[in-house]
Amino acid sequence: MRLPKKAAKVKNKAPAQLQITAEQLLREAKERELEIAPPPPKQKITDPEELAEYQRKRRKEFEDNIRKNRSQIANWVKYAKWEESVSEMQRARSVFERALDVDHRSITLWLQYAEMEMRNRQVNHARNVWDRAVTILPRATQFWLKYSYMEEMIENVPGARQVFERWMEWEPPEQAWQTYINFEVRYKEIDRARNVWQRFLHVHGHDPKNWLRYARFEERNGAPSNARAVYERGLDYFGEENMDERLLIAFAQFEERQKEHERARVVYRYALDNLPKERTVDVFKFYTIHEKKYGERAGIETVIVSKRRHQYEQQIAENSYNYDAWFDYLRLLQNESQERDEIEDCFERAIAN
Amino acid sequence: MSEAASSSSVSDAAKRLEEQKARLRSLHTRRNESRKQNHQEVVEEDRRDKLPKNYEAKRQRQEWELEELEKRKEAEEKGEDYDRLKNMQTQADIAEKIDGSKRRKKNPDTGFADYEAMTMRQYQRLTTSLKPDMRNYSEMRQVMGDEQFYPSSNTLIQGNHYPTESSIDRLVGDIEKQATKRDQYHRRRMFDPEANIDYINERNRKFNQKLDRFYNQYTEDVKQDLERGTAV
Repeated sequence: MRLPKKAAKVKNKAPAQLQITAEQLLREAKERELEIAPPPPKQKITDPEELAEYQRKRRKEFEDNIRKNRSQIANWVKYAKWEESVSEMQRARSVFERALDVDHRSITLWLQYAEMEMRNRQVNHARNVWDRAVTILPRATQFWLKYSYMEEMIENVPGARQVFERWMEWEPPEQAWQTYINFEVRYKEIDRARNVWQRFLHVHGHDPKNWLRYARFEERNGAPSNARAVYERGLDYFGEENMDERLLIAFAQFEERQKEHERARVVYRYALDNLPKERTVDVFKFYTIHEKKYGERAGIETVIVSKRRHQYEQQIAENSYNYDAWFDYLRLLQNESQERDEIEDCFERAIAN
Repeated sequence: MSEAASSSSVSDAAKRLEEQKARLRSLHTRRNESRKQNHQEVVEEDRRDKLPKNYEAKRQRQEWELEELEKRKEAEEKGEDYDRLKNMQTQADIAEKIDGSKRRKKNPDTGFADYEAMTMRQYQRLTTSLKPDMRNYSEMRQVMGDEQFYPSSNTLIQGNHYPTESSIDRLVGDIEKQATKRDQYHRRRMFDPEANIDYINERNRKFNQKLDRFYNQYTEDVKQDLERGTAV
């Protein structure tokens, strides 16, 4: 409908005397409360027919909501929770099953379903639900954790163990293995924990931190020989090319704790010989600390000298015209009264540049 | 003679009267004094009772902290390392204990990362407070035999375990405890009657809150300018 032509011609284009602000408009709109319906009258339910009527009404509302929006999990969950609250377990189960038909990958659905069974003391139903959840979504750690926790609470420790075994077949991340190990330790099964550690290292042995953790575990559980074996196996595993300084430093510190200072020295020297220059900083630090604590003067001096030599070699390698470095190096060698041949070699090299 | 005697007896009497009066007065003053002192004591005791229970401890701690601050300032002025000084003065075993207690994990809540991490954190909290029943455990081991007690993933143990009523009770109690703890994580905000009304509807209000949550950090300045009416 088009407005009559007269309305289109605005005579006075000045702003009106009384302006209205946006805030005022919003406030008035809100205060009108157009969409707030008055609550329905409160009814007391007096006999089973009225109860059935009330439940039918509620069910109809829930089903309507589901029909409006099938994929919104909250609708399903609220429906099932209401059925649970009126103690209609079979109906609640059927609601959950219908919801799982809609979306079987929803973690909340599975969790709510299992929790409902557990809350109502239906242990075998809960076990079924957890089994299905764990089969359909094996990478969801929540399911495994809560399943094993349920079995533990029921005092079904072999069941919990089997859940963990099934989980470990999927080779989950480190933290999952750690929960299994802690579980075994909780029941004081140190041998089984050891087995689990070894399987863990089969899967996650590429990270030296895991070797360190295992060795720590052995040490703490009173088997230092095992811990030594672990360190050595770790060194074998990584081999010459991939040597990792953290492993070596930890090994040396372990020997220190076991009061085997010669072995510690051997390890440090091996580290210094075999590691590339960039990674030896920490090794030097710990080696000097070790020597200061347990070594004699000669030992300390050799360490410090070799450290300085490394530093100078590095500086010279970067820039062979770094005269200061050359002079410092030569002076160091002379001060420590190293072999004459070495000093001469050094001079030769300096001149050759 | 008798007059003198009588006059002296009168003056004696008068003197005695005076003495008695003086004694009475001194007694009165002593009584008043004691009353005053008693009252002061009562007031003092009342005040002491009303103090908070840890007043002493708190005050001592505050004094100690003040001393620490002053010593720290002095050490800094002199150019020394206060921590080092302190370490040199503590006993070795006490120092070790303090170190150990620091190394023990504190585990503060770092806010929401993702649901898996949240579940893992809850699991760790629940299992560290779990106390396993070792007697039942070893009994079960005797009964079941090692084959079934240490299953691999293929051994058939489904349906072998019938949980006792008490353990199911324990499970249900635990589930309910988890639910109550979950409720603690979301608190109800108080209604603010002075807040700006920028909505026409409850649904609109929630949506505006959502928008604020996401965009407020970027639109602070613009909003303030609009509120003021002019740009800065």
